[in-house]
Amino acid sequence: MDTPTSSLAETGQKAEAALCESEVRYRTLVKATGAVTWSCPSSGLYNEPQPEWMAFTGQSAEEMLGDGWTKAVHPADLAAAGSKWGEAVASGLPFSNEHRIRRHDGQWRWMRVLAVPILDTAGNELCWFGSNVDITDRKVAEAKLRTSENRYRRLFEAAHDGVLILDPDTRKIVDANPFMTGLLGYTREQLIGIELYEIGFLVDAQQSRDMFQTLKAMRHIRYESLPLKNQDGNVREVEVVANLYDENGRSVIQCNVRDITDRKQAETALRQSHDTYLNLIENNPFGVYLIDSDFRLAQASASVQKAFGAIVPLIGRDFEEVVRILWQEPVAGEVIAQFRHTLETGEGYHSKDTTGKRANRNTVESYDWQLERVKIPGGRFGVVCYFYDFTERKHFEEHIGLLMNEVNHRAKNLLAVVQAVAKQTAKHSSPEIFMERLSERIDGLATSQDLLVKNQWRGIEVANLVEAQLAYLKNLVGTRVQLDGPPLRLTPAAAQGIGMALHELATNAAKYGALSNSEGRVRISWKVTPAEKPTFSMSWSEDGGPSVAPPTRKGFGQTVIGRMVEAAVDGTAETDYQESGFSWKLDALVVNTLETDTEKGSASDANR
Amino acid sequence: MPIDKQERTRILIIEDEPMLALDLEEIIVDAGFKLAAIAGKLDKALALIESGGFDAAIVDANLAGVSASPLAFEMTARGLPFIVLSGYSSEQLQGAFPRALFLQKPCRPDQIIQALNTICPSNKIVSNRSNQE
Repeated sequence: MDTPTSSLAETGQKAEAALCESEVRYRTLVKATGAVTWSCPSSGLYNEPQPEWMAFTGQSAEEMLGDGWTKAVHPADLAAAGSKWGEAVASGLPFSNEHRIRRHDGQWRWMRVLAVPILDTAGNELCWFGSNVDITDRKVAEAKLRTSENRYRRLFEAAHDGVLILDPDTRKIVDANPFMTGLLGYTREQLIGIELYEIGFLVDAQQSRDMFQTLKAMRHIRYESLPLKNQDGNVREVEVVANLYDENGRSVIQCNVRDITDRKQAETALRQSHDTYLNLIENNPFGVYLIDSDFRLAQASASVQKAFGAIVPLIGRDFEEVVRILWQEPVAGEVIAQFRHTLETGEGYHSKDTTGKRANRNTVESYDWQLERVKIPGGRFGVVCYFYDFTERKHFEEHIGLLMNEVNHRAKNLLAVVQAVAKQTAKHSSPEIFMERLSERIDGLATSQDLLVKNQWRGIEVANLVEAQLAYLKNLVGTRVQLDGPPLRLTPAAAQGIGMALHELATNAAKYGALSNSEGRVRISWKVTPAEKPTFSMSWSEDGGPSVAPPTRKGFGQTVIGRMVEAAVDGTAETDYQESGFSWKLDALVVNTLETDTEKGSASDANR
Repeated sequence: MPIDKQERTRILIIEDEPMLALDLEEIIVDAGFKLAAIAGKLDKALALIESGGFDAAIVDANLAGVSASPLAFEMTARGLPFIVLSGYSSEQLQGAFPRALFLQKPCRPDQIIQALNTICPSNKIVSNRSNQE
C-alpha cells in the first residue's frame, strides 16, 4: 500500500489536472458555440474587463467597465433588458433576453443573451455568468418569413380567385379563403372539414376519391369548366386548378377556383354574335372577299367559291392569278386595275354592270360589284369586294323587254286586223247594222285571243275553239249542234283563221241557216286523214233549216270562210248551198294546221 | 285610170296574217295596182322572188316568227323596190332592213298607196294623172 500522504498529494495533483483539463475543454466548447461569454455581479456593473465582450463590441476595458457596456446596447432595447435583468436578479432565475448590441464594426446585431447566477457552496450569490449568441441572421430570416407569410396571407384573403386547401388523405377542406366562401355561400367554418362533393363540386364521393387519386399520381389536375351550385342554388361556371404540394414532409392540396361564369357568358355571346354575322355573310346572295396588301386573297365568303368555280387553293392565292382564272379580257385587266387603284388610293369603286366572258366557264356573266379599302389587322390596308351575280336577273329583264316588244307588236297587228275587219264590215253592211256586225266580229277575235293566251300560244284544241266561237249557242251544243272529232291541237295561226271562219259560220247559221228556226241542226266534224302528207279536214253541215239559196252578193263572211281561211292554213275551202242545208269544208295539210308533239309551240309561232 | 299602166305595176304581198293580206290586196287593187301573188311564209315568198313576175313588194317584217330580212336582201340584190310593214317599231327592226321604207301597223290605206308610189315612180305618174283626170 502507498503512503497516504503521497497518495493524497498525488490524488490532489491528479484532481487539479483533471479540473484544469475540464476547464480547457469547457472553454473550447463555449468558444465553439460562437458565444460571447461574460460574468458580472448582480448589479450588472462590470467590475473586471470581459475580453470576449471587448473583442465583440470593440469597447476598451475602460469603456466597458461599470455601466459603460450599456452604451453598446441598442437604446431602444435597453429599458426592456434592464427590467428583465431586475426580475432575474430578484427571483434568482436565469436571465433570458434578445436585444441588439453594437458590434465592433458598428453594426447592430441581435443577440440572444442568457445568464445564470453562479452560487457559492453556501448558496449565496457570487456573480452571473452569461453568454451572448449572435442571432441576427435567424432574426432576419424570421422577419422575412413573417413578411412573406403576411404577404401570402393577404393574397389568400384578398384574392379574387377562390382558394381551398385540402388534406390529400382525408380529402377534407382545411382552409378556404373569403372569396371561396363568398362564391359558395358557406361560411369558412361550414367549409372546413367537409369534402368537395358535399358542396357540389364533384358528383359523389367516388368521383372525389378518383380526383384525389389522379392528383396524387399526377400532382396536378385542371378542370376547364365545372358547374358549381352554390347554396342559393345558382349555378356558377368555374375553372379549377388543383396542385399537390409537399409541406414539411406532409402533402397538401391547393385548389384554385376561378369564377368564369361571366367570361363564359361573354364568350358565348361573342361566339353567337360571331356565328350570326358569319351566317349572314355566308348565306347572303352577295359574295364578299378580302384582298390583303400583298394583293393576295385573304378571306372569302361561301358564295365566293360558288361564283368563282372551284379554284383550289383560293385563300392566300395571288389575286391577279385568280382574276385571270376567272375572266377573259378585257374584264380581267379592268378588274385587276380597279383593285390596285383602290388599294393604292383608298378610292372606292362601284360597277353596276360588268358583263363579260368567264375564262373558267363557258358563260357570259353579269356582276354588280363594289370595292372599298379597309384597314386589316396589323394596320395594313386591304380591299374588300362585295359582288352580286345578276346574270339571271339580266336575262330575265331582257326577256321582259322582249315580251314587252312582243306585246306591242301583237297589239299593233291585232289593231291592223280590226281595222281590216271594220273596213270590210262597213263595205258589206248597212250603217244600221254596222256596229252590231263589227262588235260580233271583234268578240270573235277576242275569243280566239283569250284561248291563245290561256294556252300560252301553244295551240288550241279544235273542240275548245269550236265551243268558244259558238259560246252564245252554248245551250244547243250536244243537242242541235253536234261536235265530232278527235283531240287535235291547232297552231295559233290556224286557230285564229279557223276561229274567224267558225264565227262567220255560226253567225250565219243563227241568222239565216239551220239555227234560225227551232229544229235545224248543225254537225261540226274534224279529222286527220293519214297519208304521206297527212291532211286535216273540218266540215260544217246544216240541215233542217229554212231552204237555202246561194247568196246573190259576195259579202265579207264569204271572204272569211273562203279566201281568208284558205290563206291562213294554205288549204282549200268549199261551200255548198244545197237547198236542204248549207255546208262548208276545209282541207289543209296537217303541217300547216296542227301542233305536233315534237314541235313545241311558242309565242313566236303567232307573230305576224 | 289607164289600164295599161296599172297592169305594168304588179305587187307581191308578203304577209302571214291572211286578213291583212286580203285587205292589202283590196287596197292596192282599188288604187289601180295589180296583185302578183300573196305569200304568208318565208319559203313561199323566196320562191316567188326567184321566179319573178312582180314589180314591187309589200313585206311584213316578221313571218310566223321568222324575220323577213332575207327577202329584203334578195329583192335589193335584184333591184326590186319594196316597202316594209310591221307591228314592230323601226328601232326594233334596226339593221334588219337597211334603207327600207317603213310603215308601222296599223296604217291607213292612203299611206300604203303613197309609199308604193314613192318606190314605183312609173306608177306615181299614173296615179297623178288619174288624180288630175
